Amino acid sequence: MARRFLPWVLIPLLAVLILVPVGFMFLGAFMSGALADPEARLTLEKVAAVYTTLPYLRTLASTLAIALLVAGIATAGGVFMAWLSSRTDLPARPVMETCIIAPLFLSPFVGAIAWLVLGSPKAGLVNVLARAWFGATGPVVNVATPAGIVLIMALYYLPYAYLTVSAALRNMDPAMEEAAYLNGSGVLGTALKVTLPVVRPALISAFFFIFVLACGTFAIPAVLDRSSQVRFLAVDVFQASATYPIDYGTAAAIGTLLFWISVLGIAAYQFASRAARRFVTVTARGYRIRLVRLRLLRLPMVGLVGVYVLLAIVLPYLALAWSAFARPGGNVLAPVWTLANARGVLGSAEVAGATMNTLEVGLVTPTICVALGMLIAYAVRRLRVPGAKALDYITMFSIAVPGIVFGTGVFWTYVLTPAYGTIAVLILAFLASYLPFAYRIGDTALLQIDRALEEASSLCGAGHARTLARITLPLARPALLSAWIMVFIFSVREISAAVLLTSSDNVVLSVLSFNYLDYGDVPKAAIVGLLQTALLAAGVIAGRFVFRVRLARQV
Amino acid sequence: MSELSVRDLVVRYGDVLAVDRVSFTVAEGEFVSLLGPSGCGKTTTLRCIAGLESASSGEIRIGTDRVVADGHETPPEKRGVNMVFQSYAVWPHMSVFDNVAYGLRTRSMPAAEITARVTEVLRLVGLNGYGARYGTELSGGQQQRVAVARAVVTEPRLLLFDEPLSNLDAGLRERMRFELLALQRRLGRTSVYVTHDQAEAMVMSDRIILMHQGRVVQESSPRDLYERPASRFAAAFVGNANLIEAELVASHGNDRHTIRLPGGLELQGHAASAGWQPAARVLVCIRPENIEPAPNGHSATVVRASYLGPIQTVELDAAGLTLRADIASRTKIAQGDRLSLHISPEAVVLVAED
Repeated sequence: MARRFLPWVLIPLLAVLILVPVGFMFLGAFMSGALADPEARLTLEKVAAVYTTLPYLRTLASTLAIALLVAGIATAGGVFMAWLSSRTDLPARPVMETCIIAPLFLSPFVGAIAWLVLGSPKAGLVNVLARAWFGATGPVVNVATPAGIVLIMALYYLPYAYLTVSAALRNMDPAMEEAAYLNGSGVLGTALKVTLPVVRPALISAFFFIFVLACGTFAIPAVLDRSSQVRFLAVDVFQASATYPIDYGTAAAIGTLLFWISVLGIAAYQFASRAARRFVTVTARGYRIRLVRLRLLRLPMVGLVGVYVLLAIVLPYLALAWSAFARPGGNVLAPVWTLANARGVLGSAEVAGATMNTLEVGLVTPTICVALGMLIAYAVRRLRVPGAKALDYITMFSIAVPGIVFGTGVFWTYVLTPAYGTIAVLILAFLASYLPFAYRIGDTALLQIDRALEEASSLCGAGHARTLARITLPLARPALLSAWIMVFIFSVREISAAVLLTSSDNVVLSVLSFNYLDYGDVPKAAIVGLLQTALLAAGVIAGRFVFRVRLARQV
Repeated sequence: MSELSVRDLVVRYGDVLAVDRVSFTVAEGEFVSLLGPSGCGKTTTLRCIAGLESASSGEIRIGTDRVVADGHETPPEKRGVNMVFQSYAVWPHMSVFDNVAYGLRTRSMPAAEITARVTEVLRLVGLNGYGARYGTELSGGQQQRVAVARAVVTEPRLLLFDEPLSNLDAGLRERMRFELLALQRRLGRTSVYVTHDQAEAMVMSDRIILMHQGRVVQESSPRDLYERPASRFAAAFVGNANLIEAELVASHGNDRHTIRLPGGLELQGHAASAGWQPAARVLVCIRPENIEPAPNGHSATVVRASYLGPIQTVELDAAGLTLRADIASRTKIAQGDRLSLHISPEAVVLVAED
């Protein structure tokens, strides 16, 4: 029964959720004005401008250049860290691993605010201190430059490469490397001639994944480069639809350009992941690989991980704390600490409202997302419903759609409906973005449940529903919980779609923080950023210690 | 009245014919094995009986119910059969008691009766006192017992076994064979047992159905299967065999024949079926243990002798023909020895070419 009936519910639902917004964005790109405008007509003007004229092509080139650099640097760093943690005698490796992946659970947007506090050319803490202590004249660091943007993006995307590559290293048959040692290769020779080539597909897939993420990143360039000297497509989408002169058609047209880049990047990513799966050489033998002795390099390597953690977590949060709790306008070298500022911000009605909105989005989105993702996975993998392929494609399709592009599409779709400007519309946009994650985790969980466990249940007389409720779901519970926590984190820190869809009623913490920043009130932005981080940390801690979820394995 | 009847069962995966017109019946209380190499269709056949796999065509009857017929299939939960899986499929999130009670709870049986029946079955499989343990805390052999208990507690009309012993180590596997058989005899359940292990099938079954490439190639008692193989495949798959292409010299009625092996050695033999003509090329099966040293027999030279403990396996050259013989170890044999051999006419079987 359910087999025949499910696709007729799921396919239209997914189409509305995922395909319709993308369709409306394309429609919007060909409109001369907003949908409500009676004068609006179809035109090629905007698309022609975006795809063929110089300012946009220059933005495209600089976006691609930045994204490629970010992907290259983050992948190289991730590979090296993965090799360190899985092939050497680095001390305290579990702690090191936790440190390396921790930035994944933080908000890159909040990190960007922190780096603005640290490294803006004039008032940045680092530059102020360098002037005071070392008598530096010009800025020592300047994050409002292409190099600054690239490095800070790489800082926050490095854990993705680390996870992908360390999974490949774990799955690699250690005998391959042992054979290289026995054939006379040294540590470096083995790493470069055997290890690296074997994990190369994983490395390439990490590269393209980060490339796509970087292309669609809005928060980091928008925050770091307030004067928009460095052109970036995602920032242009926002500016076209949020700053004067507002031009939703151009925003949509830039969105389509960004969409095509992502599609290409994801295609390359999937091609590489398929190759990576071919390279997986899982062996049943559980012996550990001989670890490379770092000897004298042990401490420097710990120091290297330490520097990463310092740059990605410690310095940024120190800077946020300074910004939040030091009396504004005071001496940097002798700050006067005060809670007044924080109290004022946290006690305000807009912060209370944004917190409630964030919690609402953060609780509703993962719940629906995980339930829907699991249902699709069950329909595709277990019930083998007719149209299973289509379900799979539509669900995975949104992986190729950056958040800001979805934001544009959802805007065009719902702008004339009463849903526009509500929290519901945010949830719709987030659901579409995060469904592939929940679906993939659910699918992997099903894949790992031996079918015989479910078959035994039906032979004991249980129907589909009872088998699902008593056997499948309880066995998939750990995976579902970690999917929930992941989507919770994504939803709480999301900014790019939220900032496009914002109204007075649905402001979430990230958008509020962004607005404060827009008025130039960095301390307020920092306080809201810290509050948002506290929510994220609560989610991670609940997942880790209450539900015993292993988050790192699920990304 | 047969309890299970499978008629013209066909399972097709695209172009591959996994099960090709398989037909057989199993009588009430009978223990029948489906034996064959991997990929022969035996597991697919079993899963069709259970309802876990769809038949492309054919009919399956359990008792008086037609569970597969004319494109209609009764879902597995309504067939009244139960199965012991190769991987045991013990649910890791439930205790042993809950695992076994699952099928009874599905039938909404009163709790007191469930407790009584589960306790009884756990005692029967030797797991009393283990009810509160979890599946993951048990050894392979114990998980196996849980799986058996869970399958028999619902009193299925038909008990199915999918290579249940293949994941156990050798010693335990041998013990479990006898335990399973004793349990089946005690409960008197009609059973179908899938295995690729001929010794397992021999020990346990009333009847063995030998399958090859999706078809039934022989259906007989364990003794007949070994002593009177109907085909080259049956002779080669079950036990060791000297399979020799020979010439039929003369027939003496009663399916007694004289045959001449390559090299000129003449032997008396018999055939399982009629219709053999003199001067025909035939295939002869001689089991190695039936080649015995005896005075005044055929002479042969020892090419190689390997000592295996109770027996030694000896490669012989008899007038240019290579034979393998299993000879009791008390006779001392060395390479180069000349032996005199006796081969009983009962041990020489004419086999049809496949």
